[in-house]
Amino acid sequence: MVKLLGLKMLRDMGRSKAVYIICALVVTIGFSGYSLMSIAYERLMDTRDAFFSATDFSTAFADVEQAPLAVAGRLAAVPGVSVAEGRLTDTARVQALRWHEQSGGKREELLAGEAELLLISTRPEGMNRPYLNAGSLPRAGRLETVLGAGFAAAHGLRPGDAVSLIIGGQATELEVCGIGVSPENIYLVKDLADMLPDLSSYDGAFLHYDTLAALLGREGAANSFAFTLWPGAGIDDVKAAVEDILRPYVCYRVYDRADHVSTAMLQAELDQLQSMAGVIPVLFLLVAAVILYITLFRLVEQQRVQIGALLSLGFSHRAISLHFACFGAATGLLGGVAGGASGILCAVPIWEYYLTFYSMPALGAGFGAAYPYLFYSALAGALFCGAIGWLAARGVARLQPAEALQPAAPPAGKLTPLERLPWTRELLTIPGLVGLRGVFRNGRRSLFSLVGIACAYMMIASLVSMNSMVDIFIYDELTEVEQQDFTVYFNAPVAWADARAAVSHPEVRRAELVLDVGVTCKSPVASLEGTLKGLEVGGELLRLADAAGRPLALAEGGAIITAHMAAALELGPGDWLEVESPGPAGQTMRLPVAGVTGQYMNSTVYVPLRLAAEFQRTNGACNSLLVAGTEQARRDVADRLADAARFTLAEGRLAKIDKMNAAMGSMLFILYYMAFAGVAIGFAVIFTGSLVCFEEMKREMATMITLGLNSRDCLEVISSGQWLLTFGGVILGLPLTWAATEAMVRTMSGDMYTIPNYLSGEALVRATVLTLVAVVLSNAVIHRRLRRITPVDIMRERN
Amino acid sequence: MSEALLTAENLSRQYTGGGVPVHALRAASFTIAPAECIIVLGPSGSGKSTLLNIIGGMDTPTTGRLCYGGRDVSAFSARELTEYRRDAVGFIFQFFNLIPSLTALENVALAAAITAGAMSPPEALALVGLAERGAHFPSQLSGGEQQRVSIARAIVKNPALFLCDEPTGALDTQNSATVVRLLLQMRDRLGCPVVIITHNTEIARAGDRIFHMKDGLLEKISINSAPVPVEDLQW
Repeated sequence: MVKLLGLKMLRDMGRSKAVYIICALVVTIGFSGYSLMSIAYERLMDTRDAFFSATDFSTAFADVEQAPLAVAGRLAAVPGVSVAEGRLTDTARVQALRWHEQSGGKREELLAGEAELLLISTRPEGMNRPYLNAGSLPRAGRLETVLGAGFAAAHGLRPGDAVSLIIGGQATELEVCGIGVSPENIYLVKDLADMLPDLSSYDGAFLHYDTLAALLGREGAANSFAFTLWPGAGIDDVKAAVEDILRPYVCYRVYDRADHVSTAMLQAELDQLQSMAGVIPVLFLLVAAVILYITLFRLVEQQRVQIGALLSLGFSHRAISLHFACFGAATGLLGGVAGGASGILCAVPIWEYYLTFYSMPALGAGFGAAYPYLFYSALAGALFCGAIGWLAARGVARLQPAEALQPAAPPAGKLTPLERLPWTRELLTIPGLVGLRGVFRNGRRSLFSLVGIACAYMMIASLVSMNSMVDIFIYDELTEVEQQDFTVYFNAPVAWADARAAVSHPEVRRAELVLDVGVTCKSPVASLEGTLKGLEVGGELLRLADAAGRPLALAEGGAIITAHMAAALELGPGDWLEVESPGPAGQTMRLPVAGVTGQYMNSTVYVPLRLAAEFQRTNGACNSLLVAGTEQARRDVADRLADAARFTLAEGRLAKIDKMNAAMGSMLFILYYMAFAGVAIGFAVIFTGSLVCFEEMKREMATMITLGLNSRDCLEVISSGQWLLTFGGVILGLPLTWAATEAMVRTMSGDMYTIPNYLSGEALVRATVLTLVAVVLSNAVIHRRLRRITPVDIMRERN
Repeated sequence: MSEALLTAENLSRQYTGGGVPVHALRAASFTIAPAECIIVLGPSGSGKSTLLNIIGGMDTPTTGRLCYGGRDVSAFSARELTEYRRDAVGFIFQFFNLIPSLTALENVALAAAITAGAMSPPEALALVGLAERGAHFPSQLSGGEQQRVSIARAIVKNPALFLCDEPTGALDTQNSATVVRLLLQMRDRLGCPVVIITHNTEIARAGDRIFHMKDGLLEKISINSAPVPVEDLQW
């Protein structure tokens, strides 16, 4: 029995294979996303844990001004701390690169002020060792370094080559003894405002402690402590005791591994993957459910007499419901298997992409653990779609056999609500009126079509508007907020007059002083690590504006904060913000919030330059300059400052945008691909609805053709209903789209950034146009079928 | 007459369509004996199909009692009705109602697959003279051939009761004769009663008893003491 009904099912499905394939494809996309993201999440977690373990990554950190190395022993004695280790960190400008004669491959010279390295001391047996891709760890007393893999790859450096750095004001040449990466530089940015790491201009460099201490003249001292906590202990268990010990040495910050920028960004990515793995299949399965329900509901109605015959043969209602559930289950199984398999296949390049993006080595178990996702996807697809099939068959399969053998009683003829409007009947032709009544007579199918179109519209609109999100979230910072041509950075405060003199050049039109201070920002409900940014009042090179684009002006005694900070601290204009400096004096100040900018990535407090300088007690000093000038001016300034001890970088904004474009290339491709998938799915829903409507109204249309109407007239029977449903679907899709984008941004927002609801009018218009194009295409396909109708054959068919 | 296989007492069926009650069958009482051929005659809407559906467990009476082998079919649960249709009844319809996506042999095998002690499907197909057409789909068969497949599908179950709802209604005279002959041959071979609904009064001459129906009433049951062989019917 099973075999024969299975045969019947396969042959029935073969007759409408296009619809089942479309449906299976939608399921495939959903489960592909699910398995891809779930596997990438698990694999990335696994890699991260293996990487952390291989490098003995510490579980907590403390930054101080300077303390004796021996303090590490006292820290290790704190209950909750198992191991503690002192180290040195500093930044150094890259002056030149020197390639070994035998080195081949890419050699890219650096101009002065184009790259900086974060120096981190290390010991062979210590914590936070770099994981070596090549070479060996640096030896004590030798001018050797393990270069970050990203920087080395960008400039074609290998073990045996050398880098010349300005360390402690002195040019020092270090031999590259190894290439590696540490958990601390998997997401290394100079400033969170940079958003994406650019390892070609900023990466880590690991030196033996003894070497770095000697170069910095800080032998026996540490400005950073790394420690490992007891299993089960948290940072809050030891923080007070650690701060007490480090207070005499000016303790800036004691923080957990989870608050380290690198690990926090990676965790945010992992959280996003996990959330999206739950959201994506639900969206796609919803659409698949609509297509499948419409298709199977019609199939069951068409096979009503067959169902009667099967019941008369002695098949139970349950067996028949199960038979139709199998149509859904087979479709879901196919989609689930294809989705699971493609997810597993695509998870490998995605994982590799993440490894490249986060500069992580390929550690951890292989993809063997991914295969259960094939089973999960297949099972979930079969069960879900099987349930849809069961629901679709429920009505007819429950009929008494005698009733099933008779055609369904036609719905009572009555005017539709729309026809009561005075102009409707004048607007519509007779075929159009038939189509309109068809929509209301087949209420359940119409409702499902409406929901399907609304879902498709929602998917198109929310995916298309993700481009707006990229613009707002990533590019607005570089194009709308920042207006300078280049920025000059110093590694220590520089007097205002000296800073201005440093960028003096005939082709520099304007220069504005900036003072950045690392601070802790507090509100009555939360606290957040951020930056206090002092800007010149009346400055033009950093254009602050609110989310609606209205300019915000700096005012004495008030602060302008970014949208992310406002969201994290639950502050708005008029509220009071407390800013605390971790510096030597540990000073605090309270400021009224004067405005909130439309920046979602940074935790920045903008204040007048003078106020920031007073707060930091570095009156008359700044640590960077925003400059409007030519590229030649940038090069000349960088050359002139090449030997200056405090100068680090002269970074061009356009070059930064170019690098961003390169980094975003693959993401934009994914966005466009997803938007295309949304359009394809929208077309699938609309086409399925039209096709089912075509099958239902075939006899009416055949009659019309017999009466002398042409195929285009008859098309109105389908198109009028389809346009009406599409209009309703778009209206219903608007709130759905808002809800979907809101859910997506809530899912994607994290501790490091806030993502705004980026739904734009332009995206809605584009989605509407694409939906209408789908209706036009669908009508064109149906029209082709209509032209092939042979009225006599159709009218001879029994219901 | 031998002992009744099936006994009906005051069977009635009322439908409610559009709020108006319709009495499709009113207080029909009768018996059916093994190997009997009963012809049900009557105009459209007289309740013939309703009667057949109730006998076949395809519908349930609103009032009255139908007993088969000592059991009250009218009190059967849905599950018992399914078993009754599966094991006791062989149905043949005017428009064949074959599954279009299954071949002739597969259609027959489908019925055999759910019945205990079923005949072999190729054998059933051979009995109706279609042994060579088993691999054809219904759309590749003529109307007469499709009805013969339908008969094979009914006999493959070795049913206790043959119920035929206008089996010749969609056939030409030659095929009609073939089908009626086959039905009576199967009745003789299996020893089960055959109930045939028809508009064709000529076929009634081949029956043992004729049920005359009008407006839902079983007006008269006439006995044909000398049934005519199918070959002698005037089509």
